[in-house]
Amino acid sequence: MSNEEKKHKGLDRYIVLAVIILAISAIIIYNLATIQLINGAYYMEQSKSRISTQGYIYPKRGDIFDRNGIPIAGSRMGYCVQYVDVDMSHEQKNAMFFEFISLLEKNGKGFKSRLTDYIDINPVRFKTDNTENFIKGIVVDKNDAQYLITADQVFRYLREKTFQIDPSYTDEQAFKIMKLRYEVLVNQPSIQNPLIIADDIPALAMAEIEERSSYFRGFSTYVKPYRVYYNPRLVSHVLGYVGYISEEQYGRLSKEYPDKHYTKSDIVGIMGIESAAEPLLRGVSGLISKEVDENNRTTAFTIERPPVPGNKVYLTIDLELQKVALESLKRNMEEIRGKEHKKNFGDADAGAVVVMDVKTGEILAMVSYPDYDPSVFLSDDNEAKATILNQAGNPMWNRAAQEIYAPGSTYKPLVAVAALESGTITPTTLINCPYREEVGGLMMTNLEGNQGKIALTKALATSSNMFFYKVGVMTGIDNIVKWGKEFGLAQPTGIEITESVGRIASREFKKTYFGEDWYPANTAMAAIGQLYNAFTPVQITNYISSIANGGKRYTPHLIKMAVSPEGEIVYEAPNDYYEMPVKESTIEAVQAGMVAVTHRNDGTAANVFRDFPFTVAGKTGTSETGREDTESSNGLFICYAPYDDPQIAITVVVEHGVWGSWTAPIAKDIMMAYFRLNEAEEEVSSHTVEIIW
Amino acid sequence: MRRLLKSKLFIVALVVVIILALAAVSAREGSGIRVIGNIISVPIAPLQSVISFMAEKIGGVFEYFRDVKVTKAENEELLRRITELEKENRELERLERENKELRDALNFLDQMESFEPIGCTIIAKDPGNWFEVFTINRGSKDGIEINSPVVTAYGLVGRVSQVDLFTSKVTSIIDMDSTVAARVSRSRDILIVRGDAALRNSGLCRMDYISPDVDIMPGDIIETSGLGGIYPKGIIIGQVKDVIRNEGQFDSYAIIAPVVDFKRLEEVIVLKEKP
Repeated sequence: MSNEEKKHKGLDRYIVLAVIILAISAIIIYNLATIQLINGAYYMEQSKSRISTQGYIYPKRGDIFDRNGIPIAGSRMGYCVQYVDVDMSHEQKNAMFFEFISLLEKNGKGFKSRLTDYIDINPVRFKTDNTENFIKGIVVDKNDAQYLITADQVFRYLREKTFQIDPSYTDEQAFKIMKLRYEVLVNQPSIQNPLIIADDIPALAMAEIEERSSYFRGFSTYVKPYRVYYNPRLVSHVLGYVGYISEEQYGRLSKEYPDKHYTKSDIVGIMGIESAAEPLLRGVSGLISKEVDENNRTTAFTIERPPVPGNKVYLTIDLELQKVALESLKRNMEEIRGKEHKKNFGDADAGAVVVMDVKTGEILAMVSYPDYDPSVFLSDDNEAKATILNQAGNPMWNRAAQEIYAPGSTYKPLVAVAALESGTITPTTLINCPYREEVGGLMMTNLEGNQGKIALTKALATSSNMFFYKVGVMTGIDNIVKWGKEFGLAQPTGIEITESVGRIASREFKKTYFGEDWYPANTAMAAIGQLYNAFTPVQITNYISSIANGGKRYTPHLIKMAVSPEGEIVYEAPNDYYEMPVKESTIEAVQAGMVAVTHRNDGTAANVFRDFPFTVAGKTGTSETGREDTESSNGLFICYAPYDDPQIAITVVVEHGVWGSWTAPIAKDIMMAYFRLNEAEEEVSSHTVEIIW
Repeated sequence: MRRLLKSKLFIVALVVVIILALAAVSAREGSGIRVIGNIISVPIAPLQSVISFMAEKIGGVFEYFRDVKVTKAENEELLRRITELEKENRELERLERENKELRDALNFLDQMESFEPIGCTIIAKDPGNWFEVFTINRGSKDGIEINSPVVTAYGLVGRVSQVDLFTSKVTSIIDMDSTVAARVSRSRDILIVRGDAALRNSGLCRMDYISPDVDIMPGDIIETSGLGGIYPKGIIIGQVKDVIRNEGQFDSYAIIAPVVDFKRLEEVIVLKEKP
C-alpha cells in the first residue's frame, strides 16, 4: 500500500468518525430541541409532581350577641401546621424536626405526642406496664423486640436504631425529636391523611414555617376560624363552651344533620347555649379540591362546595343587667358574710339570680356563682381546665338551672293559690295563729310568735308559718301538688340549656323514694316549702312570673332569635303560653299579700323597699338545710315589679345567705338598673356598664 | 495511535464526548458531582446564555409566522396594550414616588445596612414567558448564599435557591416554590405572599390568610414583614390588585401585582449578608 493510499485510508476513517459524531450530535440536538424548545414548558410542569386531594373548609361558627347586639362570642383566625412524610435521610429529618420543635418552643407552643404515654425521660422509665405493642411498633427488625426489656434499652434503641439521632444531640433534645418522629411513625401521614402537628400557633411561627418552606419540607400551614369570647365570665353558665367533637357526638350530629357535613375534627358546642344552639350556630363545611406538591402545599384549587357560615344567635340576656346582677350578688354575699348574727357562719359563697320578662318568658339575666372563664376551654391549657373542673364550689355547675333549692317560704304564695282555689279559705278567712299548736298530729311552733287571728295578706307579709301549717293541712297535699304542677314546679320548664327537674313533696314522691305513707304533718312541713320540695331558680322564677301575669305559664327561654348570614330571620322564639285555670280573685289576693311583704310595716322585706319609687311584690324565703348547727340557712327572695303593670320577675338565691330578707337588696339593685332608677340621681354615663368589646 | 491523538478533529470529538458524558452525570440534582458541575458551568455559562437567547428567538420566529391573522389581531391587541401600558407607566411612576416615600418612612436604608448589594446580570432563564426561575452571573465566589434575598431598585424579586461557584439560580416570588411573609404597609397583620399556578402566567402572586378583621383594599402596598427568617423587613413586594372574598369562607385572599416586572428583567441585586 502506498503512502498516498495509507493517508487516504486514514482520512476515510476520520470522515467516518466525523459522520458518526455529526449524526449523534444531530440526534442529541434534535432531542434537546424537542425537550427544551417545543415541549419545554410542558416538561417543566411535569417535573414538579402534582397530587390531587380534597379538603374541608371549616365554616365560621355563628356569632352570639346579647339582646341588644353586644357581642358575646365571635370568631378569629388561627393557624395550624400539618405534616406529610417526605423521603429524606434520618440525619436531615432529625435536624429539620429539631429546628421545627425549637421554632414552636420559641413561640411558646408545644405539640402532643403519644410517645409520652409509653416512655418518659428524666429518669428514663416506662409510663405503662403494657409495652409489648409499643415495642413491636418501633423496632426496625421484629427480631429485635425480644432484646428490648428495660426502658433504657428502648430509649437507646429509639435513639440509635429507629430514628438514628446523631450523638451530638443531648438526650433531652433527642427525646423531643423522638416524640415528633414517633407521631409520624405511628400515623404514617400522607397527603390524603396529613398529621396535624400544631394547632393555633402564633402568626410569627407561621411566618417562619412559610417563608422557610423550602427548608421545612413536608410542613404546610392552613387557617381556620377559632371561637373567641367577649366578657365570658359575665355569662359563663349561659354561654357554655365548645370543644372537639366526640365519637358519640359525631355519630349523632352527622345523622341528625347530614346537610351540615360534620367532620371528625370539628369543634362543637359542649355546654350551655353553645351546645343548645349547635344546629343554629354550626355552619356547613365546604369542600375544596386541591392540587398539591409533594410537600402538601396547594398549587391550585377549586372550591367544590362553598362553606356556609353559621347563623347569628341573639340571646334574651341583657348583658348590662347580667353584669348588675352578678356584681350585686358578689357584693351582697360579701356583706352577708360580714354581718353579725348567731345563725351566720360567714359562709355565704354561692348563689344564683334569674330575671325573667313576665310577658314573654325571656330570661333577661341568669347568673350563677362561682363563675368561671369559658374561654379556658377554647385553649389547650389542660392544667387550667383541670383547675376549673376540680375547684371547690363546682363553678361549672349552673346553679340557676341545674341546682335545686328548697323554696322555703317562697312556696307560700303557691299554697295560698291552692287554698283559695280549693275553696278552703277566702282572702278574708281568719286563722288563729298562736305561738304553739298541734297541727296534723305534731306540735308546731310559730316563729312569728303568737299572731292571733290573721288573714292571708298578713300571713304572707309576715311569712306566718302557723298560718300555712294549718291552711296547708286544710287544703290537703294533693291540692297543693296539683297547683305546684300547674305552675310548672318539679317539671322540665323547656329552657334550651341543661336543667334539673327538681322534686315536689307529694304522696307519690314519699312512696317512691321512702316507701312510706303520707301523714298530715308532712303536709304542714311541705306547705312552708320544706320537706322534699326543691326547685331550680328558673322554675321558681317561672312560677312567680305566672302569679305576676295572672296565670300565664311561658316557656322560659334564652334564645331570642337567629339571623342567617344573609340577614334573614331563621328562628324566632315562640311566644305561646299555657293559661292555667286560676281565678282572677285568687291571683289578686296572693298579689296583695306579696305587696304587703315589701310595703307593710311588718313585711319581711319592708326595710329594703321603704323608699322605693314604685310598688314591688315580693316574698322572702329562708330554707333550712338540716345542717343549721354548722352552716347558715339558704336565703331566697322572689319578686316582680311593678305591681300594677308587672314586667319582670326575679329570683335570688344565696347559699348560706342566712335570711331571705338579706338577699332582697340584690333584687333591688336589678330593678334599679332595669327601670333605670339610678339615672335620675346619677349621671347616665356612670351607670352605663363598661363592656369590653 | 499517536497520529490519532495529534489529530485536531479527534481531539475536538473527544472533548465533545467528554462534555456530553459529564453533563449527563452531573445533571442529577444533588449528585456529588456539583464540583464538576461548577467546572463545567464556568465555560458553559456564556454558551448557555447564547443558547437560551437563541432558543427564545427561534421559538419566537416560528410563532411569528404561524398565522398572519393571529399576527394582525395581535397587532391590534398590542396597540391597545401600548395605551394600557402607558397608563400603567404613569401609575408606576406614581407608585415609584409612593415607594420612595414609604422607603424613607421605613428607614429602609438603615434596614439594608447589614447587607452588601451585589449587582448581577441574568444569563439564563427557565422556559416560559416570565422570569420565574433564572440564572445570574454571580455565585459562591462572590459570597452569594442560599436564601440570599434578591431585589431590584423597585422591590423584591425573590431569593437565591441554588448556588454554584460562578452562577446562582434565583427563584422569583411569582414561582410556586416561593413564599414570603408579608404585611400591609399601613398595618401589622402578617400575611403570606405565594406564587400561584394560575396567577404566575400573568406575572402576579397570591396573598393568603387575610382575616376578616384585616383592613385591606386594592391599591394597598405590600412589603416584606421581616419575620420569616429570609427576607429583611420593608422591601416592597407589590400592590393589592384585588381582594377575593370567597363565598362563605372565613379568610380571604388577594391578588398582588409585584412592583418588579417579571417579563423584563435584566439586572438584579443580591443582598449579601455582611459578616
